[in-house]
Amino acid sequence: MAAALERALGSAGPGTGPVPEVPEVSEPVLVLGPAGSGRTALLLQAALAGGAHGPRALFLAPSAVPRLPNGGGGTGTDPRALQRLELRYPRSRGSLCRELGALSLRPPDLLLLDGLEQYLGESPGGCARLAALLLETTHPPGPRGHPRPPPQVVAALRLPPPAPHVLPTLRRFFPARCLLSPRPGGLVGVRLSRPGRPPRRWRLRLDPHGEGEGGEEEQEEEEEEEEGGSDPEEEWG
Amino acid sequence: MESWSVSPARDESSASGMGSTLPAVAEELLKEIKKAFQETSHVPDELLLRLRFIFGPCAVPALDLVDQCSVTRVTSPSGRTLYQVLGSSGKLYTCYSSCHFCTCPAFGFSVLQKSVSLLCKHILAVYLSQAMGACQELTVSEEQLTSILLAEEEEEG
Repeated sequence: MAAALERALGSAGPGTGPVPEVPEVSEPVLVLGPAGSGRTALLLQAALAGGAHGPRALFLAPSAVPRLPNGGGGTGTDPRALQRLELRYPRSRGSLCRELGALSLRPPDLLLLDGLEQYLGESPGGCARLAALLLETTHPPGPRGHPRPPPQVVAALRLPPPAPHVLPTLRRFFPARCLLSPRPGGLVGVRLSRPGRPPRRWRLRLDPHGEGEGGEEEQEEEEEEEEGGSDPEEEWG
Repeated sequence: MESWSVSPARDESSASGMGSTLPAVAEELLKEIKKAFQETSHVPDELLLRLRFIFGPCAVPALDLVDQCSVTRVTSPSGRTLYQVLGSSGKLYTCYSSCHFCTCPAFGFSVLQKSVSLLCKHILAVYLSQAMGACQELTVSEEQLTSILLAEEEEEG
């Protein structure tokens, strides 16, 4: 959910507007961005940003991540955070569904699904079913169950989407969305939209391959100028 | 394989206990239906008309499903829950508890593709069965509940 991403991105800078203090909610977040915009790096930063006290995270992706941000335990990464991160690579939709089905036995605090576009299938029904399954298998038990905070769910989809129906379908299941837009100079504009809150914006340097990032200064958030014109997400349906 | 136990039970959950967001007007209507049914074991015509106005052509078939006790709430020992609805064709459909999703073809077509309906009749029947305490209860193991969730995924391959 958005809290994990906001922790990775940092607090909003001056001029981005006040963020209302509302109780944290567990809405799932869909990270959207074109190839090379740093979706994988952002998901991994969300897993590692909490350091030793961060979430117990499960990262699922269709193929192996070559390197972790900051050199994987190098400068800037708390090794204890790495101990709380589990990486798994289901190659097919069926394998992914089996991974999701097993979550009830040992649910993570944070579920990160990268490469969603590779699992969705061709029909709107198949797309919706996978999104619904993702939410259902991370849904906390009812009153009869053991109370526990719901896992945070963040999934990443490459733009353009694989079919016109994909974004309209996924919006039904992911009320919060994080749009990554590459900018000149290797920077990435980040806009996080959550229901009932004003959008928040950052400008970051996110390594598109999950490899070593720039220095601390480059990771610092900056206020981004208001973008004029239409919603960039609308461009894709 | 553990045996499955089925028993009718009164559902005490809220009118909107599926964990999804309904429009406020629909949420309010379900609360009124629940209150009226608890007090009189009857749903007044005025509320039925509003139900039809909000949910359109799936309202009456959904009420038929409730009358036939077609909705079963499936729960595992950990408290995980989903709903199975026996459709008018005799096929069993699965409705999720965390979001609006049903495995029936109408959900894929009318709700997802055409966006002409808010819900399918099976999801509406789940809401109405919750409001009217008409859910059957079924307790299964964690593995069985997971199997139900993944059943059609396994079939599709």
